[in-house]
Amino acid sequence: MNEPNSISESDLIALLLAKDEKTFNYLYDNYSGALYGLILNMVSQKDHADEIIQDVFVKIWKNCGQYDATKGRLYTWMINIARNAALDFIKSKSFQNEQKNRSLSDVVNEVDSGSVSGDEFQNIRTDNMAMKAVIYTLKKEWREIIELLYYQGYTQTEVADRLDIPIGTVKTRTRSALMELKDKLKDYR
Amino acid sequence: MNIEDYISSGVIEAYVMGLATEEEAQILECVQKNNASVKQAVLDAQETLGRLHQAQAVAPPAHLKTSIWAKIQKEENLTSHEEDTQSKNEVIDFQPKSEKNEVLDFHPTYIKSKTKEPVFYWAAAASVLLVISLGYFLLNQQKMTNELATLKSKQETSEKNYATLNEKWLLSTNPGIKTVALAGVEKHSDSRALIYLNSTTKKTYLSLENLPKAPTGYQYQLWGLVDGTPVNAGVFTQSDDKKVQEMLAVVNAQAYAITLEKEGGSSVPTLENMYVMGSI
Repeated sequence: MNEPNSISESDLIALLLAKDEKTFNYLYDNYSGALYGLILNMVSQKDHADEIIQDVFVKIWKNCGQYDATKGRLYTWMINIARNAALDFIKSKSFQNEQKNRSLSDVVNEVDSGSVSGDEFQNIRTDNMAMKAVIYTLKKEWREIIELLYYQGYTQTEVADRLDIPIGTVKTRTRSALMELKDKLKDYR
Repeated sequence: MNIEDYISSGVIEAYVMGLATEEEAQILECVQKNNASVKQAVLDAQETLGRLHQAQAVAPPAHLKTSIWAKIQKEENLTSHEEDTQSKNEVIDFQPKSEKNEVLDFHPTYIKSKTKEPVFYWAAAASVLLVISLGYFLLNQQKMTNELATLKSKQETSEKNYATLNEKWLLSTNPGIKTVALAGVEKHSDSRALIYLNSTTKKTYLSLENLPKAPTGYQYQLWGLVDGTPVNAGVFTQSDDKKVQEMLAVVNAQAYAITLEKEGGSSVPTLENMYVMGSI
């Protein structure tokens, strides 16, 4: 499953080489939501996300010749481009200055207070604030790890220091969180 | 090695989420080529992340689609312009070559009309051709010898790298071995080193990851800190083919540090020459 559509990935790659507007439409219609959601979750602000998603699609378009199907799926490749672009942005000086009043502990507190039960999950998905709906169904100690590592771009060592837990625990919690997500999302289409 | 332990260590998840260190990623990419269950675990984790992003998808504002397509087309126009200029340059570059070709490209009728002794010209032409092709042959041979030498040294390097990688991998996947990362201190923030501690045999290994080559007459020395007191753990012999070296074991060390000392090592560390440190 994964991408909501019928074209197989190998056909899509063949299409990509043609590089016409139809291919672009297909790519955009099927993947822009997932990529934009990820970027928005990382940079928080809509106008930043709007900028980044544009760059991401231009980059995908320009570099699709470099995509190597033996190294992984096209969708994974695009996710990596999107996350790296958002990461570059949140690590940039201008964004850092913008955020300088927000310390990591604030972020942790936000994560802590953002507790949502599974029942509220559906309601929240429609809400603008609720992009990380699935993540919020995880228990707190897993959620904060995913939040800090994956969305905020802190390194494993930084997270271990800040949360005052061994780096091995950071790793095993990351794994547990992903296993739990796998289970939660197994029927997701 | 125990592949189950490796899979459950969390390193695959870290890799898929873009959190693994370069070293971890290199090792994993090597392992997954040779191990189907590791490869499957990587694919599974990527699949989960893919589903997560689908589940948390947010549609971008509608107007972005047309503006992105416009951007793409603008970029493509720019690129094709660049290509135009490039091909023009190429034509210019080719100019001297085509002149040479003209010299070579003797036209029999042309020669005939110009001379009464075509045989002489043919002989001259043939010898010119011979000299030129001999030149090409020698040039080619030189090129091939050079390429062969480059390939050979590349292969030797990659064999060494593979041996080092393999050694590190065996250490880092051994459940009885604890890895301690030493991070660069302020003056040498780029430097890194890894210590592998075998809890059963008490053996201590050191791998310098990113330390500058020690100047002549100097060596890196490892120290184990026991209740704040540095205890000598031996000097590191820097060479190309032995990247992981066994050091002296320091019983009850809570932290490790590396300093640059005169060859042979010192009895007390020169603290201002400390490069990396890290606690267990």
